[in-house]
Amino acid sequence: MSTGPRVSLVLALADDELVIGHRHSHWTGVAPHVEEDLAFSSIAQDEIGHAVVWYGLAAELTGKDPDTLGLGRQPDGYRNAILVERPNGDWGYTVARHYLYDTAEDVRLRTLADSAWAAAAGATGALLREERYHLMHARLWLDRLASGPIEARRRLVDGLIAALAEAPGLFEPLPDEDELLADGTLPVSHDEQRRQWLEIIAGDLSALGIEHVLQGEAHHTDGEFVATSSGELLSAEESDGRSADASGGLGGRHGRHSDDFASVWEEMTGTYRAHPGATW
Amino acid sequence: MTTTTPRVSDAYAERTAAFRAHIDAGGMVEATDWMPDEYRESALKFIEMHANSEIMGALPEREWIARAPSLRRKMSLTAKVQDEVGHGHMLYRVAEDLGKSRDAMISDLINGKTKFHNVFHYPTYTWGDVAVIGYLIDGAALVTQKALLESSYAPYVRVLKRICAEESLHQRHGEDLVLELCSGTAEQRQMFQDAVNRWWDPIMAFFGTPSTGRRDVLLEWRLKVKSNEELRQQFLTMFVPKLWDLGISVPDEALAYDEASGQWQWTEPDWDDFKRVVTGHGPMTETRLAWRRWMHEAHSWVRETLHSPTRAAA
Amino acid sequence: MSERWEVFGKRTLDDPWTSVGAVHAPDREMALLLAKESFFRHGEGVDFAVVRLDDIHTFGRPDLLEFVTDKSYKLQTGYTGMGDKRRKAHEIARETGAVIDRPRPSDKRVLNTEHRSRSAS
Repeated sequence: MSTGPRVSLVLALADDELVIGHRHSHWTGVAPHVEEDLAFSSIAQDEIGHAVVWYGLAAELTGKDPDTLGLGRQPDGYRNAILVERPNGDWGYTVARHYLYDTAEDVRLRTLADSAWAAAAGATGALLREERYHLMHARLWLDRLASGPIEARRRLVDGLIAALAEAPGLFEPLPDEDELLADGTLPVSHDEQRRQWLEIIAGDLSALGIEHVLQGEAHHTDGEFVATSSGELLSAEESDGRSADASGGLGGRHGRHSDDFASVWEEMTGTYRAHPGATW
Repeated sequence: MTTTTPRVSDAYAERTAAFRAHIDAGGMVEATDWMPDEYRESALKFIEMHANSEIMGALPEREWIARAPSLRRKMSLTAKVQDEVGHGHMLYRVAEDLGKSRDAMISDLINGKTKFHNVFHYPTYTWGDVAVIGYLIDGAALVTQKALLESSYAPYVRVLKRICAEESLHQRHGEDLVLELCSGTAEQRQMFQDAVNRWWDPIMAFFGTPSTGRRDVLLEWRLKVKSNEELRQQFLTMFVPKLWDLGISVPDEALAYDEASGQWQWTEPDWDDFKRVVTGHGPMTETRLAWRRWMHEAHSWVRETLHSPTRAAA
Repeated sequence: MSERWEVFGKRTLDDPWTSVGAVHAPDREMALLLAKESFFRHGEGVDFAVVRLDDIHTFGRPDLLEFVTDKSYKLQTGYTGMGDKRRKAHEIARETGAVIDRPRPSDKRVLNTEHRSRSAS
């Protein structure tokens, strides 16, 4: 069987983890509460560590080491979803994205635990264990903000609406999805995984009385960030995934990124690329 | 009133004398012990400045997490900066028990009312700076912190044990960064040399003036046990030979070890400039504090959330 | 201001609780969540607990805890001169021919450890 499709699978996973880890790590030293600074920093370190695991699998298939893969590609070579490349915005958006991302990661990893590709299946165990704390953390913050003062609830809701608009991109079908399904590397399609994920988050959001965000239209909040339009959530599966404007947060799995990725790529890969062949 | 006041101040003077004798005999002080005002205020100011420095020290280093040149260094640098925040966390806790709330300390820091170490007022330019911070600045911090393990204030000593253990790891990490650069390309070696050239003066100044001739309250109450010059000499002995063995020079032509006196000769930095920096006029002071003030304001709603009781509170 | 919660940890399950520090948190769940990465991110232990600082009540009277009148009878060090007494008693027994010289175990260890292995099964 061709290793191409498997490479696209692990790169999507690895790039998502690296870029979200990169964004999360930005809070180290400047988070809203000292103890939370420590907790969120550990989560950032975990995600980058997860990326290293997936790059390790890609290394076996491509012969390129994790640093070359993680820091050495051109922008259109990256396969992360649009959602993870967005700036951190305020703490409400950060918590919202963290929650949506980690619940999605949990579904994706549990799916891969049954993969016919033994190495991938084997890798999920350790990652799922670390994910338990991420989910505990995300759900607790979701609850505290949703049940908190008015401003906290408003910022969380705004953050969720903005992040939900692009979260479907985490489940964008891969270019080689059919082959991956055919040989059992991918036990369940991304469409089906997205449905499972939607059920989970609908449950969590209902319990907090904020399920309306699933139907919400995004809007500006003090110009801190501009959210893409929403309301198209359930029809993401109908879009052909080839549109250039990344609506629904799509395009990432095909190397098509938003304007925000350019600055991520520049700062994340700049030092590495400036010194080809150097070790650090 | 004239009959009661002398008695009150006599009692205070007596207790202070007894306290001083306890300190001089090597006794330790706990948070709940009676303390003369000068001891409490000096300890609080000293520990508060230490906490402030850990928090502000995170800012120059965290700039390089985003730009780290390898995935492993991205994680290790994040962990290292995390530890510095953790040190600030633990030190604020110790300072709190001396009578100032954490909120007040953070507010005073970002509003420029309290101090932090000179070295954290400077910009970083390259990965070489990350190596210098990790190796030499953390090395300097470790020298001073190890000496503080003999401090008379017990809660501070307990927290310092953990801080020193973590700083030792940071120092090892820093040395790893340096050795990687010095065994790498010519460009990398020069990157490190350039950074050493930039940071040397602030590092020498970090230890403070050799002597002010004035009363050193901290030494008197055994909050500190070693003088500034003793610590600087120790640092020079630990690090200069190692730099020289790597072929890295130090930008001080007068730096030399005098075997007769057993002392390093070195060029004193501009102490007026040092004073300007620590009183809030360093190259990056206002930028960093302004940013922290902005973040603090932007996060007031998060603090409000964390300070309100929740329905889950039990 | 957020409440303060004292954090206690155990290196291994057999260890007693040891105070490791404190966190500022609004409630029990947040305190537990945050304490993990404040004090256990380097593998320092297997479990931890949080208690509101206000729920920790100190006695605060070291003057009442130290010995005042002679209580040395409560300490090992309060029993001295026993070697001399033993020598004198042995001497008397020898002189009066009262010593009982019968077969006895060669292992002179006082503690019988046999019961421990029996109770462990």
